[in-house]
Amino acid sequence: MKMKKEKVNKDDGRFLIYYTFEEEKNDKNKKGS
Amino acid sequence: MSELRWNPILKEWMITATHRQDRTFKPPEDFCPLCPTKQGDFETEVPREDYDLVVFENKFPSLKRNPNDPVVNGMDLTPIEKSKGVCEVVLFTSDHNGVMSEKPLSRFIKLVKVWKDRYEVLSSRKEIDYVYIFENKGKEVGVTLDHPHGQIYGYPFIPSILEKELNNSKEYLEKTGNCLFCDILKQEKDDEERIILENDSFTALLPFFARYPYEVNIYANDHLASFKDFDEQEIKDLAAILKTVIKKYDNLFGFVFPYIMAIHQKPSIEGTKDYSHFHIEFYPPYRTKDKLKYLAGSEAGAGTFINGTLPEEKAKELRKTAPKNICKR
Repeated sequence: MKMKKEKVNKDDGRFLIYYTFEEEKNDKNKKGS
Repeated sequence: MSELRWNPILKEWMITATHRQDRTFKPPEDFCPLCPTKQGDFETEVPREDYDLVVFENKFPSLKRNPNDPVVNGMDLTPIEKSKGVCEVVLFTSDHNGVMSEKPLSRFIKLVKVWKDRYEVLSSRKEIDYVYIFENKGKEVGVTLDHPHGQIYGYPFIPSILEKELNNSKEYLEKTGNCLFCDILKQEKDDEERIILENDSFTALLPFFARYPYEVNIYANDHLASFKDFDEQEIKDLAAILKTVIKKYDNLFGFVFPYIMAIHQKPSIEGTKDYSHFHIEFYPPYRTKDKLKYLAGSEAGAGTFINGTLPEEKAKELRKTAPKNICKR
């Protein structure tokens, strides 16, 4: 799984990171996936 | 207001954080600040209508990026410092009532990847000496928000329990040339009595010296110092054994088992890799299905735990509890 992150600033100055994941083509062929 | 106060008797820092008295306490589900923001409704911590995993800075942090000056002056024996550091919240899922042990393995893999990412980012910051990843789960351990989440503290020092652990490990390395944790794991594997289950990269066991009846530890089989050393297979193996242990916990008495989960790994300080060994410690408060273990006089006042059970028997009980094999999905 390939991880992507998007960092955004909240109104009060704190940050927040959204993590998303994309299944890679060979993930399905790997043992245990 | 928060600050670090030095205790010269125990040689450790403690944190005052008075603003935390006002933090959100057990809100009803409709007002959960960790859920995604519903259209037309109040804005939660996460403005989007859905998310996968999220990390954000704690609204009520004990340690801050830009802390204020302390409100009192330190004294000769008891210095005071600004509470500089990091407090982050990790949201495991957008599903408020989600039970993690019922989530697919892929969610645990994602979570381990997020932990690894935050460890790598935070441990590279010069003001942080120790990145501590943990989870408080269940009202029995004082959780104030039910939504599945964990926390990350970046301390500007090595906290006392971790420092004691590292000092002892360093001393053992200097004396024997071996890692203390590697040797403890070898001893446990040779004895087999307290092993619960294992995969290629990790072993779950109740340590010989378990303080809590169901105190499972997960040790890296190889000398991995921290998340930084993990490859893709080790990420998957940790996710799998983690899910399996949590599922065993939930099956043990037929309810979602509360615990404190503490991840111990290498401090951010150079030269500590040889005696830092990645492991996870669980401290579940239940000693039977309907009785809690409290930290009382000996534990809280003297530091000596009294465990009313034998780790060998509790390990056997957990081995027998489903799932008996590592979760594959």
